[in-house]
Amino acid sequence: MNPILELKAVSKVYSKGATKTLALKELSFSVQEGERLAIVGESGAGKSTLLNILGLIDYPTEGSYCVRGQETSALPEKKKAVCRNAEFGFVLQDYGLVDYLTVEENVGFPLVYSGKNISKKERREQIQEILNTLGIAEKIEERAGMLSGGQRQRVAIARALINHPKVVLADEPTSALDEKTKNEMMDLLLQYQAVQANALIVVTHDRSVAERMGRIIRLERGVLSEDRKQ
Amino acid sequence: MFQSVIKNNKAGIFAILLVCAIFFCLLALVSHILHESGEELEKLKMFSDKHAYVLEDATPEIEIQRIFSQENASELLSEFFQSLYKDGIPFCLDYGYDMYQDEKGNIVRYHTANEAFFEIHGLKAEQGRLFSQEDYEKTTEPVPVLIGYDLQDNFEVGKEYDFENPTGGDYFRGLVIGVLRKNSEYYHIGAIAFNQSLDASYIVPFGRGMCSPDLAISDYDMALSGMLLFLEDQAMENQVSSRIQAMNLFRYTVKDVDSLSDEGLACQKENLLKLLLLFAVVLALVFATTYLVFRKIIRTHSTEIGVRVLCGASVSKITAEIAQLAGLLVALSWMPSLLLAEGWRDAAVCAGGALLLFALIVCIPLRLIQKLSIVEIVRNPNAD
Repeated sequence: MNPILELKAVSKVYSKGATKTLALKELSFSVQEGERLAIVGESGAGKSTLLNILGLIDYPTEGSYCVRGQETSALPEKKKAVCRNAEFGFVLQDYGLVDYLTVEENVGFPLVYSGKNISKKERREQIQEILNTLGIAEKIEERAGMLSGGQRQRVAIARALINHPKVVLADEPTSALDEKTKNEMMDLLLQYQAVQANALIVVTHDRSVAERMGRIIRLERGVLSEDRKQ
Repeated sequence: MFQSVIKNNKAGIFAILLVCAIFFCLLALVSHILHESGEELEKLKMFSDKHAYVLEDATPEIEIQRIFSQENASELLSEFFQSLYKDGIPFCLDYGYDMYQDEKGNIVRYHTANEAFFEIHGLKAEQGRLFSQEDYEKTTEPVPVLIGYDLQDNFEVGKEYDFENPTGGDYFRGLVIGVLRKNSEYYHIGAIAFNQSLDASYIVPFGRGMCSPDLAISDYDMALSGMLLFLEDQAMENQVSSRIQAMNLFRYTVKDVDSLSDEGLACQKENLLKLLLLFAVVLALVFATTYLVFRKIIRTHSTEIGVRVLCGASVSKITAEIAQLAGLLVALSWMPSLLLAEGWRDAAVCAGGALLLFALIVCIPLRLIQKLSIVEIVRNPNAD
């Protein structure tokens, strides 16, 4: 079975003046459809850098990164954006909601940039549907800044899933949460992952979160030190 | 995206609109002034090879009352004009009065001019004829009258009418001998130079027959201040100057039109420099305001920009949306200048200015967005 994501000897070097920082060194691994993967490591290990490369936000300095068999390094910016919209959903640290916009506007971003000819009415219906399944349909008109932590969490997940992406990337989704909310968050992500059969990649330094995923990749100073299935 | 930007940055958007509107209004004004003064200088140049001179009035205010109350003032002035005719000194003369408003809303003007006036200013008749030599020497009614194009519905060629006298409130009997062509106008050089339309004027000859001591001093004063003398050499110039001095009335200096255009050019350059300075200040204000406002906008919207990119917007699409906003601001602020623009030329200058301003100010938000690190925003999404 062809992997949905494949990295081969990917390195990332940041340059600031004469100073060069090696964030990732010759990473090679692949991710299958429907796979659950945790990327773990200490702070500064390169987890977020790896996630950004996976999500086509950043690009490798060396090596090859393919999404569904297509090499991404030579893709122009617009095509990367199209690929990002079609293949990926993001759950950011702190949820990354735009507080002054409504829930509908926040969740609707992926649909706005999907390139499909969706009318405003159809868009609203799709948003309504996913908010319904997440239990926050009544908040559709509310500004994101007025929501509780749990509600913001659900809105972030709704935004990540609305476009039925093949890969969901979550960057420390539970970092600021208490135990109960953390478990709720992971339950939701895993529930939808099972239903939509997308790959779920979670960056975390939380052991309990990592252990709920099917596979763990450990980074140490930018190097892949462990890759094991649970 | 720019809907949320406008909603959340009303004060800043208004500030940009205001400074840009000031810029465009200034541009319209500068274009108009340059065009007008350019046209005036061109018209002055028309006379540069004709040895044309004007009489520059330097009569002090306190002298005016004495002159107007002097018993023989009219007689002396009449003799001055007679002497110009006698010595064959060519001159072009005209003056007029606004009389009344007709039913079409035209301000109808009484005008009088001598023989050289029509030739010098290239005026032609649409119907009938211009004044003949005899017309200038006539001293009895009916007075030959030329009418402007816009008055021909009320006055027919070949017929007599009562025309209002500019002074005294009475009427004189006039015979319409011709209608001037449409858009007949001339450039009046005098203490104040201006374009004067004749389309709503009725014109009588200012000739020997009219140079009577009964003419009011104010008429002679207007005639002198609007006069163009054609003096071949210094001797003629001295002759005219000494005659004016001998009258001991108005203090006129004989001044050649070339020096007027030199003065006009120097004045234009000075005004232009001042305007350019003001322009530079306003442009700097436009840039400073645009920079500060867009910097704030992009900072406060950096999370939104980052999220949109994550959700599939390309950075170039985001910059295109911000560029659209800059374009909208320039277009809206350009519109008030159309009220100040006189004619297509000024409007075209402002339109060109709008394109240039858009090209310049759009660089500001584009540059600010380029400096954004989406990677950093994604890492710290709510660190605005």
